[in-house]
Amino acid sequence: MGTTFTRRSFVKTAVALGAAIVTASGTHRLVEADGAYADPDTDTSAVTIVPTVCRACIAQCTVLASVRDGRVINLEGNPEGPMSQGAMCAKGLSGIQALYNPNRNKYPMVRVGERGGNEWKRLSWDDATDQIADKLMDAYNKYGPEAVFASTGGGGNPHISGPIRFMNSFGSPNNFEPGCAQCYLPRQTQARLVFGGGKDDNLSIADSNVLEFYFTDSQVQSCVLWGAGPSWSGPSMTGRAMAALRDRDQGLKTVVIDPRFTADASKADVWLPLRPGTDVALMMCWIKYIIDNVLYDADFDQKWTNLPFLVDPDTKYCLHADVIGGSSDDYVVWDDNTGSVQALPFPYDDALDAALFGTYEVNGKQCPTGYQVLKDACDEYTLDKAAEICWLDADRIEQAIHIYADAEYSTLIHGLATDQFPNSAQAALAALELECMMGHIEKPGAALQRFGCFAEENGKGAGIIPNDTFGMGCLQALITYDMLEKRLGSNEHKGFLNWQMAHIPTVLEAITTGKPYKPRIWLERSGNKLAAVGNAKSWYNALPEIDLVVHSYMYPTSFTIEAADYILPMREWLECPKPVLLMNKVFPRQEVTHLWETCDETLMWSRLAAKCAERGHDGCRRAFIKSEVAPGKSKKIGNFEVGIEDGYPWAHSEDELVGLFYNECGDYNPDIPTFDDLVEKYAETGYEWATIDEWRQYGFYKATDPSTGKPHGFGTVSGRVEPYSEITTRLGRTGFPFALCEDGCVEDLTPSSVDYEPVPYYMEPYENPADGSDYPLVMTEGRVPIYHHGTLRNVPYLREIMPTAEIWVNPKDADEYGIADGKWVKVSSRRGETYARAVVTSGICTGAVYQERFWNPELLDKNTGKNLNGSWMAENVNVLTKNDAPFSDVYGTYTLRGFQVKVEQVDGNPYDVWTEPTDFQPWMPLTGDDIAPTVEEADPWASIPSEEAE
Amino acid sequence: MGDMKAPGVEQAKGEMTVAVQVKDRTGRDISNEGVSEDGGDSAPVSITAGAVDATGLVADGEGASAIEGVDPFAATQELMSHEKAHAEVFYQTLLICRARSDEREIAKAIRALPQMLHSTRTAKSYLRLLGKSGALRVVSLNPDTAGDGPVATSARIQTDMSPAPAAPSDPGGEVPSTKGRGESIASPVTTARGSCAWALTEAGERIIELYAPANRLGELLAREPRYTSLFAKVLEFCHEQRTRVEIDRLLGGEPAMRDPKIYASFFTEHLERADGLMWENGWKTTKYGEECLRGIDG
Repeated sequence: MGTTFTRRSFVKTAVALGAAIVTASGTHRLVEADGAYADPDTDTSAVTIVPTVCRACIAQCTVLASVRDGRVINLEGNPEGPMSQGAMCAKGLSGIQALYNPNRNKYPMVRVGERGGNEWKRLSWDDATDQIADKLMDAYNKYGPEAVFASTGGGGNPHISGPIRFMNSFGSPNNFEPGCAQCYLPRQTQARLVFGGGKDDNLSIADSNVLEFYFTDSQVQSCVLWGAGPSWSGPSMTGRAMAALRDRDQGLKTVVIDPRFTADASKADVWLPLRPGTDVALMMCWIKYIIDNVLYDADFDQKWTNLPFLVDPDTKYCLHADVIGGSSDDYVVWDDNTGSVQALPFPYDDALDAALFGTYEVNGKQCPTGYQVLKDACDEYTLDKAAEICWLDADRIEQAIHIYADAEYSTLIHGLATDQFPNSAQAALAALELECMMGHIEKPGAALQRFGCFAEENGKGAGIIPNDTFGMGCLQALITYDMLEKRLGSNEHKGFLNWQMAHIPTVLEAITTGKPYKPRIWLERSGNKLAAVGNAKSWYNALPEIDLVVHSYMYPTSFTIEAADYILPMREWLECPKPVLLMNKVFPRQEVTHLWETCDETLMWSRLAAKCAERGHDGCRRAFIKSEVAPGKSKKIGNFEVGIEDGYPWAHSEDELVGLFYNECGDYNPDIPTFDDLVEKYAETGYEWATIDEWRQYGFYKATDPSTGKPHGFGTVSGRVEPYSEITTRLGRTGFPFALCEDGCVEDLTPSSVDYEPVPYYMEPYENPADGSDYPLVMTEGRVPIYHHGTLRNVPYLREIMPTAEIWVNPKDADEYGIADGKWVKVSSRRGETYARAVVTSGICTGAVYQERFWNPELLDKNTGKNLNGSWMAENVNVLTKNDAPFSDVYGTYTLRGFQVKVEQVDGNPYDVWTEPTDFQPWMPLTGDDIAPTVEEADPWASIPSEEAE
Repeated sequence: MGDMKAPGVEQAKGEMTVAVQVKDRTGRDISNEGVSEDGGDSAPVSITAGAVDATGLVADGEGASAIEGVDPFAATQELMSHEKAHAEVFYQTLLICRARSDEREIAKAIRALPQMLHSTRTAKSYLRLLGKSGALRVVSLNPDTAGDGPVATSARIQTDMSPAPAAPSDPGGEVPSTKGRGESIASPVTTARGSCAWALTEAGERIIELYAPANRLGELLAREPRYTSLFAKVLEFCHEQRTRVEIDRLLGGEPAMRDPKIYASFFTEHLERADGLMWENGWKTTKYGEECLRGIDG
């Protein structure tokens, strides 16, 4: 029996749940809708509620899915989730339309015509993976494993570790992700180096950190949202949490630093709409102001940071006490009590009064403190100078600093924006330096915490592999030293070692020039690379050089049409089982249904690895054997533990796959030895692996480590937080601490050509308004609440809310360039041109414009063949972005924000994109008999004779 | 995707495995789901995103003609540069068409090319594309085999769920409806089947001349003169069949490869593209490579 699927109002539902769904232009284009659920009075089939966890974005809200006759008919939030607490946003609610989209990839297919010619043939999984494995092994034997490269993305239910695992099995060093150096890698890596917490202990609220903010009893009084927009990036999780904090009697004072007037900016006490790409100048101004006005936490800085350590100005490394006859485990400080250099042991020596600033002689050399180096680096960035660079008002900057610095409990939340231009490393470092200087570390209200550590020390454990990102472990035991050296771009930009990824522009250059070798087979596991990579056309132009492209995704995209030779159908989040860690609880994401021949990503990689193993690939063979991929012994350098992570071999089946994610949960709670037990007993409530009070405890660094009798300190070399980031310098010179391979952590990789600085410096954007070019406006990007990266543009209700890309133009600029609100405009950069509809608003500063990523699935069949496909040309800001030098020194970041464009009004809808609600009708979910959840019908091609009959 | 075991892979419990099977979570074997009886030579389909558009769809063997107003020499060059992985097959196809005209014989010869081992395309698709670019032309339909029955050609996935129209030359082949089939893959469009004869055009002859291995090898050496001696070293070394690893060792430590850093595959890949080397379970110098080497040594 079919279920009629009628329209419903997303806004009504979303608003009822308290999520902020406001279009960028502030207008709604919705029409009245009928109810969207089966009438309970007439439909008597039983409805089953299946608790699961959303993956429409990285927030991972808990969900209750209603299922009738195997059909998902309703989604709502599960209030048991500790972070979303029952909220769901439009992205999650669109899960049904995403799941049943008629254009889902259902079966493996192979391209039979010319690339871009859009001619495909269906084949079995066995045949597809056989053929792909044959080609992989052919390339392996002829050219070497580095002839194959893989890529992934943050959207579309990815297991980001999947391609990394496969590449490590195969022996190729090259994976990439359009995010990575342009999203999260800089902030995440610098936090590991400076703060020394775990992989997810950093300042990014959107990446499910800043867990303190999910508690309304938090003592936080003020916060800075620096390039972060939690109300739009995660409406039902981070947005909900921010709203709840603001709703307290005491409220929450906020400073928002963002060129856009976002929903969060609308609630801010101070909004600083800075010029895109200039954040580091402003951060250095803040550092200078805080130092000059002695607003920092002197006690914390003295005792728990490396800022008082004396630094060798020639090496840039902190001095160790062996240079003054002490232990090399200790550092050197200037003691104001004795007026002499002294050794500083861990954690501190209360007999000392270590000077925070100054330059002191050690063995004939003038050695500044780390704090002095930082102070000197920031000295020129006065309020006035920062105001001039950043297009801000000096008084407002000062006001903002005081909101941050004057509160006893304050913190800084650092968003994506600064990861998207070449000054990314310095921005990540400067933000952490501010928090370290202010002592916002593991105290109430602070973003940087290590919740859960006390509980783990007391024998508690979640026992699962924590999350999607690197969730399965990356089989680092299979990485050879040779692979580290061969990874494209990572010797120059050693931040990539942390994520085992390659530098996208260097990969592109290798493809087009064949130097140092030619990557020629592309295994792509995400959505639309032509909408996601910088300077998309440069990748399109490189496609002729690539022999084979395998595209694994849930539905066809521009990339499928233009590039793919094979299509492998992947599962949506409603089809994937996996345990998910949310704070102190583990929730099962369940296989609510399973359509067609779609496959779980990790199982797909397993299958390819198995096929390659069949064909004699030794690395792939070993990757199935637990003893071959087990980690070696880790070691501690100071307090920094280095070593390859736990290795989990490939799975042979779904059950085995889920079991691998599930890991040792049953060891901690014998009641739930398997994932099925977790589902049976805790699907809705989640399994609480520690009570909330056991989990949420502050000050782990001060607590005594029972194994040493000393404080735990931080997971850094010195055991203190290290805002003077000598380890960043060391990373560039040696690869330590991220150069992990079968030999453990190596420290002799080829040094980067430039030294990484241990303190920030400001880089003026390469393209800037002063260069007098024909491109007078500065472009920036930023998230919208209803889409996640390049996903969901084919969901009818979401497209109805925001059918086209929008470019925000300040009224003054609109007057100057003849732009009217709502009209189509052509947006051009030095790389190309695209289109959007103008939103004339003072929500963007004069001289800047804002446009988010977009692409048009409705144009997939337009201009096929060697003409450029309209789906990725029509409204794609990444046709404009810049992917050439300069790059970030540490992370290789190219320029997605802070480049120059011009805007010209045009007539009509240039690509005839869909804009009206009824345009999206073809994408409404398949219903009833049109759904074939399992393939049981006769082979539809059986009656067609072969065209190759002898 | 269910239970899956890789042959030869030692399981953790010491169990040796057998051939790969795929089962879903109910245990049903879906290893061969969707495979047609003819072993995979079923008709192709296409993806659309909302509108039915049958233009540009050409049946294999349906007399693909060059696009009007486009220089066929330039168009064929563009085809071969746009599809570099298939360039050698295109070139060899043109050579084959010098010696043969019957489509079936040509297709058989194309399928026998070593490069076809890993091609995802049918032999006839190469003919069709070269016909479309203007390097080949159809000279006759074999009257003995005309009207032998429908053969499926390209169609499109339609998200508006309306059936694909029949191709213009359809002599009455059926167009299965997509309604109720529970998938967005549209039915194939059927056309009449005929057997063609193919002939080189003047553009095709020029392409053969341009892409002659001697020209390609010469152009390679001219483009990368600093590596001439290393190209020669590889060609010399591969008088006998060599593995990739052996060539890696041969060139390991070569000063010319340090800055800028390049690896041995740079040389094998370029020589292969120029038909100076070929792969037959190992790298082997071709006769063209031998000639090139003599030219270098000379």
